[in-house]
Amino acid sequence: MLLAPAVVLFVTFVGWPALRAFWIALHTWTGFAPRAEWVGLQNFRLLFGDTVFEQAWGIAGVIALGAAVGLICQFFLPRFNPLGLSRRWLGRIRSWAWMPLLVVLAGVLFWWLYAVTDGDSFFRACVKNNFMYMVVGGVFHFLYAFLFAGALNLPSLRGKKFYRTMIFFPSFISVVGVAVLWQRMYDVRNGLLNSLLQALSIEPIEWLSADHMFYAIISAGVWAGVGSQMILLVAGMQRIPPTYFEAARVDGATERHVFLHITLPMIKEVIMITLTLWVIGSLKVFGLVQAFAITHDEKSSVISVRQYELAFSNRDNIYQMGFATAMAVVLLLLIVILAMALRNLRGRDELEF
Amino acid sequence: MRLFNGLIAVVVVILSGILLWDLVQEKLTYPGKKVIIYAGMFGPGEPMQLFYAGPPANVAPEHPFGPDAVEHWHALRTAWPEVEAALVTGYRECFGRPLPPLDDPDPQLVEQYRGLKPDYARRLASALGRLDRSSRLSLYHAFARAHPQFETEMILTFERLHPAYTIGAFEDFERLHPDYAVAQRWDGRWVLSANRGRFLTGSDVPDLITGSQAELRILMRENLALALDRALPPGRGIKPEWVQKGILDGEKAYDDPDRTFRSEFYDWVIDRARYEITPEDRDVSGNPYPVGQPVLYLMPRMAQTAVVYYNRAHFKMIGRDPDDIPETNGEFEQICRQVLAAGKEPIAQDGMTYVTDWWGELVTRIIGDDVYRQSVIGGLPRFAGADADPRYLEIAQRLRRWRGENFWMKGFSASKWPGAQRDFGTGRCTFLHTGTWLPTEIAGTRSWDPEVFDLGCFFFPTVEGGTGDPYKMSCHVQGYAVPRDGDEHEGAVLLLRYLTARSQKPMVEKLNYMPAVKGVAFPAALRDIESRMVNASADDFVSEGPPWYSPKWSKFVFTETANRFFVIRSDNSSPEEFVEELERRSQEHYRKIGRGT
Repeated sequence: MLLAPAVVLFVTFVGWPALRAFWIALHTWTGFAPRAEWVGLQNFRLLFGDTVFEQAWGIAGVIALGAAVGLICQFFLPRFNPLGLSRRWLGRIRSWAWMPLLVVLAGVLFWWLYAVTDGDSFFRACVKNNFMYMVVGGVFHFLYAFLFAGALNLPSLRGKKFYRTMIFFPSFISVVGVAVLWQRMYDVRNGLLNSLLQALSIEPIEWLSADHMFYAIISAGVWAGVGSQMILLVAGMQRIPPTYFEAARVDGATERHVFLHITLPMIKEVIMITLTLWVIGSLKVFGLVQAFAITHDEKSSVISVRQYELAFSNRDNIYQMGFATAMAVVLLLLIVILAMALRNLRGRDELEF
Repeated sequence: MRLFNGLIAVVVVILSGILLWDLVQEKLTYPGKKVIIYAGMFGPGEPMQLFYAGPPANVAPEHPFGPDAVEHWHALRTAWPEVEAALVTGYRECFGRPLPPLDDPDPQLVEQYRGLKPDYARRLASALGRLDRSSRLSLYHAFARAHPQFETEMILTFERLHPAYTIGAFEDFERLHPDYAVAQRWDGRWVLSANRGRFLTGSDVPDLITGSQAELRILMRENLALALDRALPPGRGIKPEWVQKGILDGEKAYDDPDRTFRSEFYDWVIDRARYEITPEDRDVSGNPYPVGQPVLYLMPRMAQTAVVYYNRAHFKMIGRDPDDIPETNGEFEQICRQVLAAGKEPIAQDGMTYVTDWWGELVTRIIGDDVYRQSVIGGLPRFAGADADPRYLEIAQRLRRWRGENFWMKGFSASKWPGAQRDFGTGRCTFLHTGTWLPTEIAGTRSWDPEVFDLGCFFFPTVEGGTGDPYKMSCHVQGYAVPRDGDEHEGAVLLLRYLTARSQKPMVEKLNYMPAVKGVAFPAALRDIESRMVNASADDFVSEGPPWYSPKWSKFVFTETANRFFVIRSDNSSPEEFVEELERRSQEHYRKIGRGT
């Protein structure tokens, strides 16, 4: 009874629209009038191409194999143990040993889809860009976040509040503000970066040309977002009782040893949560990319921007709500798969201290 | 449990109150009046020019209320002593220094300011020099009709908002027609998208909506807009005259009952604003009009065409008569080379905006609009292959040659809109190809020193040996549509007639737009093309182009091919690769989606 309002709100504003999105993806629809034309899987066929659909049985087989491996390792083996394995090995298989095989199968699946799809090449480029954003941006996000968090966790550092505020401050700025600010900095003639280069007698760089734009966006995103990751890591680090650090230092551990062997393992849970949030956020990224330029080509567009263009843009006047929703469904599946994979990587054992 | 029930009851009451307010707010806000919902957009490039382009370089605007026009500040101060404190404070806040002294302001100027109404003088003093929206709106509103001698200066000073005219016009309309109230919604640049949910649900649909003909076409396709030149079926809010003759011929001009509403417009503008009903429109959307017949759905407000703007100061610089516009592409290329030799950059361009327009213009001049249309929709000739017209490749090669000769400004591929307009308006480049909205858009960022920048324009020159359309022009119309599901059709059409007669004329004139209605002078910057536009017929214009007759091909094939391979932006491909890729993608498009889509 007490849950009823929350359930009603969830179903009304989250559940029902999600189900409806699956339905819309099976139609051609402009979004202006209720009339929509049933096209079945045509939108997905346009996305992935005919070859993928022709090879659907093979792809389904890979997915089924992965599901079977998961079921066997998670349920069948621990329950029936036909191989007579020890409890220790059963625990390992259940928690993580099956993951590498699943990762291999997932890799085969993604490679297969990417290699054989002859559908929407722009969409494929967008998927690639999203993953680039996730990997390249993620590396730099976490690198800087750990660097700053580690430094802020040093007992000898003075002015921690000031540094924390300065590093976290860009997170307060809206993504549109970040985009405008960095556009000015990247300006080929009057921008700060090229002015510095010119002062050093270096030829100016076209930061916002087609070849460089996406990395320019990633850089701006790292600047704006690293503070959020840092704060989460700092919070995790500060939960660790100082006795562990004291004991380690008494035993002669260097700061590097302390960081690698005490801090990192003890904030594993926080890292995985941060990583999960980053993965989801990078697949959904929209505002920063959209605000950086009025139009995007294949080198700088991402899935959300592409969806927006096709579904809502008055500039092109094609209003493909059904096709854009099909993209949204694919994006949802990608996010769910990756989030579940990360959840399993996290494992079940929680460290308590 | 009681507490829980009480909380639920409170939530239900609050939500019901919000719903009730949403349903009755118009009746409460405009008691006893018939409400006309107007969904309008802002003028192109309104705050975005300064926002994206940054402060203009080397621009010293000559207008009354900049920091150096001290005589105006003092004249106002002398005429209205009660606003002196606000003026002095405002000057210091805006320009970071005290108001320079002036002992004897011009008495004539003082007298002019004394003629202001007190309310306007106070609003002027509080808004002067301020760039925030509410101050500017307040200022323009105050000045919209009462003080025409300052109108142009105000516009140029603060990068005017054309809504200010419309707001003044609404208030005037409400005064003349006290039964009506206009509920204004300013929905930004993409008005249609902002109102999409309303069209879908049929709730709170605007009675008038503004947009371009390409944008508002979807309303006709989905049978969501009234046809303006056809007899309408009887229904709620449909007047008997419209049932007999349609709106355009059934209504009279607002200021002249002896003329029809139709007579307010140029015929070619009406022709351009029509949409041809397709079988799909009829079968899927239930459109009642015959297939193949053009139907007017957009009441024109202003027209746009594409021209090549040029800096007359640069023509003088290279020793050419500024009025001697190039008549052929050969001359155009020669001027570009001369400009380069003189140390300037010929063509201003943003990397991703309007860059393919050069292709479109050359195709029209060399090959012809009709032939291009056939190629686009899947017929012959093709872009590459056995059935190709070799001129497509020649055009790509010409553009690559232009790039090789550095006709486009340095670093253009990394330039973002409105960077090119800023560079053009500050005298860096000689040419800019864009629409006739440009003079208004660059009003706030251009140089007003005629030695630096003096604006002129011409239609894209003919191409020697071209067998296409040597003199045809493009034309795009912006205006109003009357949504079918609006509640107040009669009021909407009355407002439409009023806006056409009373507001569009001064607004279009003052804001340097090309008019769609008769009796409006062309803006000075567009005088070079006036006679051709005013005397034009339907045959003088090319079609709307692929975005109109093949929007999906335009988006998924041409734009995406051009972004990846276009010979202007990219050195990564040859002209041959461009036309081959265009052909390959076109064939794939026809196979998957269909021809003519």
